[in-house]
Amino acid sequence: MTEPLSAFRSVALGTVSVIGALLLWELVGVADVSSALPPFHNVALAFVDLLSSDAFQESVWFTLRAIAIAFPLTVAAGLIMGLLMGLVRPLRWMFDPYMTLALSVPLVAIIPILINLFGFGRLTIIAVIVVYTLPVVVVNTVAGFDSVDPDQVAMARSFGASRLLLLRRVLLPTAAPLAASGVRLAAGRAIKGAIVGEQIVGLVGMGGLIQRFGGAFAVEDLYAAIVFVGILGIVVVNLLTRLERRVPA
Amino acid sequence: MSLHGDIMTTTAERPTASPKSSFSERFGADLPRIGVGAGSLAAGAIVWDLYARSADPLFAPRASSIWTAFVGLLGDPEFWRSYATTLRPFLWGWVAAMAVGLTFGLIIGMSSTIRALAGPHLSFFNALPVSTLVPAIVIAFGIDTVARSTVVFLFAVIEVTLTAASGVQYVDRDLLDMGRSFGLGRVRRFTRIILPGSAPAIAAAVRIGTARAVVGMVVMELLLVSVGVGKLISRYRDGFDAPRLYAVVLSLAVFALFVNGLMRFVEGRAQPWRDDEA
Amino acid sequence: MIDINGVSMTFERDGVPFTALDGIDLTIADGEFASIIGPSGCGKTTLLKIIAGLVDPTAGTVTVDGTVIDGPGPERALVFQNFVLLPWATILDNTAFGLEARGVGKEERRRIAREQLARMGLSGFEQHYPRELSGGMQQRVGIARALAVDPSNLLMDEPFGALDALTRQLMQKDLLDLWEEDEERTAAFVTHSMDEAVYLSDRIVLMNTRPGRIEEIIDVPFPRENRADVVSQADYNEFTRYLWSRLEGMQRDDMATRGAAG
Repeated sequence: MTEPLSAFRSVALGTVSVIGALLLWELVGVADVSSALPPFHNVALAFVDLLSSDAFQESVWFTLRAIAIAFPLTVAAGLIMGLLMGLVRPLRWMFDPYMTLALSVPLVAIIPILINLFGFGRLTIIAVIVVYTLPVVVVNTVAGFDSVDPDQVAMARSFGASRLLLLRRVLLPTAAPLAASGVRLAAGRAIKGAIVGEQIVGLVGMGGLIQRFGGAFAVEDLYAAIVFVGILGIVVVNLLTRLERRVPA
Repeated sequence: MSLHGDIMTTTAERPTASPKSSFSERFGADLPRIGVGAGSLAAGAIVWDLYARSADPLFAPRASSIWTAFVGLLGDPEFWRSYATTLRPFLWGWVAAMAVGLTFGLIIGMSSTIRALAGPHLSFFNALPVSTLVPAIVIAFGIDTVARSTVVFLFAVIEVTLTAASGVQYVDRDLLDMGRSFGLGRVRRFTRIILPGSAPAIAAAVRIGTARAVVGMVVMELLLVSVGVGKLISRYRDGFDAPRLYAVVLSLAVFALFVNGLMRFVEGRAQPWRDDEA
Repeated sequence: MIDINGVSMTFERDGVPFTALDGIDLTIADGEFASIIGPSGCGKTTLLKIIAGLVDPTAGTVTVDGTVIDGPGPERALVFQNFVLLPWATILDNTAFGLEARGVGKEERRRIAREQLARMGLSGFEQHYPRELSGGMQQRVGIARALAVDPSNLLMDEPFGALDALTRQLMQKDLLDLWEEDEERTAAFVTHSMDEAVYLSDRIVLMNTRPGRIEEIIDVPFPRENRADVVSQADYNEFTRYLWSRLEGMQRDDMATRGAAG
């Protein structure tokens, strides 16, 4: 159990570690240990080429558009559902089994069914994103309402607060932080869902592109695309984490 | 530091606040909840059936025909052989992910230097959809047991590591101080305080990691369709046998629920001091 | 014997240095019971942690039984405010914990732990877990754990702060009884209760905030033997009134400066 490091040392060590890992990658790649591991500089070059290629831009647009359509709508629907389920007990009883199921079953498994229902295009990817994100938002929002301190409710009642005041001053502020972290988790899952959905469909978007690179043994392009998706994920999650911090706790 | 805050919080796929038991969640008031829940599931099945009645059976089969197909599969030896084929790499990957993830998680939980070194890599792999690595794994290892085990391993290992690490970090500082004040040595500090103190997190890591391993298993079946359950799925999909396709998916869900329940059972058993009966 | 020599402690809080303790000099003699009292934020708990060896001071030294300390040592044992029992260990193993840390064999440490539990009136609870005991009983285990290692210096950090008033009084009395069994043992007792300090101590160390410092060291002018019977007497009232006037002044000053700063 060691004491926490200063922020500077922590960042410095992280940077050193990343550079070290890239060096190691380069060495292993140059030594030609496996055809699956090209030298890092080749991947870096492929990354630069990739950014300007038409196929890549088309794929990225496809994926981002699907997320841009599905994510805001799902978040809005999820927050409203969570609010209603948090406040109206019978509604909660109705939807709880579905939410529990959605969180305990691997949702990837229903992608073949979604393909069967919605075909091989954008509609399926949008459906995958909805299925991946909705339960997280709903369950976190409901948990937010569950975390309300009964004493605070009693306090508000004892002062004769109206239901609206209770909601505005006690319930919503308590639920907001957890609901916000639900949205952050959902953002990560939206990307993961979109990509894995596209991989299984195999034709469209970044996921489809990755499958095609893999099938063609284009390893440099494949790693470049993977790195791009990873960076995209980090950027989106960090962005959402920042937004989450703005939510008054 | 924000980075490590991020990794630690992203591990929580489930809400962090444990629901307080309100009146209605006590025993006596459970009946309406269960009743409404069951009714709601039944209504869902009926709605599906009404939709399926008017839709093309190739795309949306009736609930009854899915059920018949499911029961039929349970009597089909090939179905069980497929699961046996699928489960072997699942078990290998699971064991490897637990061994590596728990060890590594405990180490980075205890050492802030190693945590700082591992941080950026963990963040990257935590943000990356693991499924993107499947084509690379196929190029490296082919499509047999090694490749499949690797997919399962990669799906689980990051979350196991992060969950275990956060558990170690949240071991009660007062207990560590107490141990120090009595002059506790390194080894005993680990065995008597850190390890039991992280037991809840280790149990959670095993449960979450297992769920992730199941996801990995399914992804691998869907992307590498040459053998096992994946072969069944692709055969029924390509043969437009919608009821059997839905039934196989249903079997995966049942499998996941079974594993999930098993893990929760083990988790409850693993910590006798938390039970009401000592 | 605890000898504190020019101890200062500076933290960095949000990048701004913050003086928690400033030039503390204090000697607690062998067999003496000293209470450290003061408004919250005066650094009394930090001072106790420094004596315990859990925190290194920025300046100054602490000498215990003639040796300058460098971390925790077997001649000191600490009782914590929130008990700090191992939730996964039985009461017996919790009581024996300090002995286990010192490498005492299983039979021997269990025998001693049983003895200590019996003195605390906890016989029969050996195989229970901490959460099955009330707060008062848990703190009895905390005290038994500390006494089990037979320390020449007992350090207590508001040990009764988390208990209800009745339990608290009972525990104070039992602590005194235990205390008087060993005439050589030294005690440093952090509290924010004036009555507790007067009832238990030979000397009271009054601390003040911003920066944390010793304001005054007061001898308790009552013999320990019949202190329980002295409670209603007029000189007791006068003494507590004096203490209260000092403490009230400090508390009000502190509130005023905080209000002005915030």
